[in-house]
Amino acid sequence: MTNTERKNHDKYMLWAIFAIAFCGSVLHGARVWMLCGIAILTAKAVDVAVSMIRRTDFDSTDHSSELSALIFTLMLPVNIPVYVMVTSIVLAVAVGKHMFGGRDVYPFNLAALTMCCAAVNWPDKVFSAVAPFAKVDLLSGYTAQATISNASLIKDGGVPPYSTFDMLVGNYPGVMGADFVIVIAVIGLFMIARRKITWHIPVTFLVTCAAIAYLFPRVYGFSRLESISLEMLNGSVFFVALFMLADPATTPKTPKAKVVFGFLTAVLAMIFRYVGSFDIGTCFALLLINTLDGYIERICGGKKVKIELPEETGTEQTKEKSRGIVKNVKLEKAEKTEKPPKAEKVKTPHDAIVLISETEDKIDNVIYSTRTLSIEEILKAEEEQKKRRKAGK
Amino acid sequence: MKNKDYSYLYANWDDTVRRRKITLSNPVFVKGLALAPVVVAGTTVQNGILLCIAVFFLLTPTRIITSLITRHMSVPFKTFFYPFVSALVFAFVYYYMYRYLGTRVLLLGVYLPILVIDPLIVKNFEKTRKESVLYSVINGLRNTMGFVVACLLVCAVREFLAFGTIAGIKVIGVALLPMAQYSFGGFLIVALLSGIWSTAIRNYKYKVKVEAMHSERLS
Amino acid sequence: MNDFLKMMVEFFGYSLVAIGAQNAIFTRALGLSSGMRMLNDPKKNTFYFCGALTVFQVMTSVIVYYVMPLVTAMGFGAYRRFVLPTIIVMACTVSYVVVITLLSRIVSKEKFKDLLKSVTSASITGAIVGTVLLTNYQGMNLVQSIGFGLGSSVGYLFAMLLITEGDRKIAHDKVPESLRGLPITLVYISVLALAVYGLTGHAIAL
Repeated sequence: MTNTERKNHDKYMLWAIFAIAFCGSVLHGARVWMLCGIAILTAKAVDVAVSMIRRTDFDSTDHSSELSALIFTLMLPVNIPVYVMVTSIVLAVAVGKHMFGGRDVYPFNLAALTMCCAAVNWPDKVFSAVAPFAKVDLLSGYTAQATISNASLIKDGGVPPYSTFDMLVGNYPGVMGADFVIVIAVIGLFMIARRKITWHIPVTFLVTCAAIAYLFPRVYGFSRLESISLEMLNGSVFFVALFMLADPATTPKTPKAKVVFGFLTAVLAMIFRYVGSFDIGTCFALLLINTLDGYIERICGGKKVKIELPEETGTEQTKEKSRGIVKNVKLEKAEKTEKPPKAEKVKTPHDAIVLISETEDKIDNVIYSTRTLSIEEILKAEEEQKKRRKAGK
Repeated sequence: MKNKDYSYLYANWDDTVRRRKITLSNPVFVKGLALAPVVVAGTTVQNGILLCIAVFFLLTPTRIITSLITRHMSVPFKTFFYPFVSALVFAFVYYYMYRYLGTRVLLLGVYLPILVIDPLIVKNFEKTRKESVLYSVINGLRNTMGFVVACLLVCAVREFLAFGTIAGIKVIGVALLPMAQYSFGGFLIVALLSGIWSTAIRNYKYKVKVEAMHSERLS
Repeated sequence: MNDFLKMMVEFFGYSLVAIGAQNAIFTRALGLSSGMRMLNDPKKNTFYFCGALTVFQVMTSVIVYYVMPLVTAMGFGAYRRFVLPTIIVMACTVSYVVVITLLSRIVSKEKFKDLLKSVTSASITGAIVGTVLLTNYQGMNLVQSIGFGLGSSVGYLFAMLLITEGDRKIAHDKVPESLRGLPITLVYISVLALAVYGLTGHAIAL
């Protein structure tokens, strides 16, 4: 996926998320918008902070953090305390995205990772459910109408006392956005029709989940078809299929591999839901399957996946005035397209050595754009330095 | 530090790294040794202290005994002799720890006995280099100190994040990140501290190089 | 027949627990240092290492299971806990000698050379000693011990394969320089451990 396609994908996904957030705000009130805003700001703040710490250019076209934060937020109940949400987003974006190299190369689905972090840290807060039109305090999130979620109820052997229609339209105590199955399905169909996402992963995932629910019903005393509706309409299955499994950074690229990926994710997700400890077994399963997407791609005969460098790779200049050294480091791809910037003239072998010592660990990956001194000259200077040192001994 | 010292450090960088076990070649943060006890059992400072006591009484004596006995042994024998010696030493250490510190020693479960085969204690078994008793004492103590610093740091951070306390003393009374008490939290904390540690080492290495260059230029 | 079925259920039940919920690396971090060193050593093969580990694991479990009652019979029952590591190390040594002797006779010289390094480094690891200690502390019977040991080794293999696969993904220049190597591998393992935790949902008993 090229940079432009990725931007386009993120843009469409953000619009889709806002449509669902709007439905959520109708049922759960203005706190939905407040939490969505905080989620976006937190994700962006982490991106900015990391770029400042790493002294790299801030990539304003990268929306993966905000998208993941919004997906995560809409899977939470409306009474969630703000600190739970903020801490989870900070942790997941900093660790799950930036530690692994940032945009397009992070190995785990960010939204799933955020959800898992929140679930293991504050399970009692994350797995509650709030009735539609309940009074919720805007700041603290306190409500008297909180109950346990349908997925928890099914896990404990119970059956949700709501009609299939109510579960389709999300009219029952639940989370902020992931319960509007009809809306999510329509958005999904629209995006598949417009070719913004491919059908392979979501459809394979949903069909396999339904098949497992049919073949191995969890709730006793109900028909197999009723088991399908209970399993599919609860636990944010549709939401996960459309938004989490469509992340291009953490899913395979070829159609065959996508089908296998969707199938395996569904099998593992249902195992986690059946025997796991959390309602959102799908997110935990997705983290595990994310490790295998490269392997799936290889066995399905896909092309070797290469890490794509962003198109607008700029220069990274670090001017260290105190030492009077200007270091110009450019990534390989940018080197081919743009003229290298001017570097301060390296006059003596000593300056050359300092330059080497500054950046010796990057020598495999970057090209020094110094016009005044070639690599051979730098190596010569280093040899000279070594000889001098030996002579000194 | 004088510029001459930096030149010396730069010229003998490998030796410097080998000698500075606490900082430059920390057994936990740099070499990744003894990860299991630190990651899983090191949830509180109390556990950390128990681990440190065990390592203190286990590491150096094992090194001394093995350096005395295994001088003329070939590598395959050494492979099993080192763990055997450390297991024997550990039997006494464990017994006396249990006697004087009580059942809290048992709370660490398998993570105290597992030290006997940890590469931290039996690391040298793959090496054929013979070492003198004095060297083994110095090296053992350096390694022990490196482990103590890393272990206590990890334990303190984890206890603070998971329970809001340090060594049982209430600091903020709020669990900032309850996952720090689990093994995956332990992995993460050790990874983060290891990252910070390696950044500090890189910066120090850079400083030594630049200062060494500077002094050479002056001379 | 009933007893046999019960035994099989026990065996596979303990194996499954050891593979998933009590995974040697992700849940208990056993043998992690050895695993990390194996990853960095191109001469060692993951499959040989884990295959040898499985054999040693089962053999050591059986030897220790039969030797521990003798220790009690000799009057050292009160010191059982303290001498257990020594006995496990001795059992590992015996297993290693037996396996190496057999291997040297079965496989060709070249293959034997190829295997030797992986087999030797798998002979005494935290995964084996930790698992045998666990089975003893929890008072498992022979079937349970072997099942748990086998499951632990298989779980170790799965974990190592996942970590190896992860190593391909995180070996690029976009990872911050300070985190390359040990730290980023540990972060990767921590996320996988978090995913495995989703299966159990509770802290392990040490």
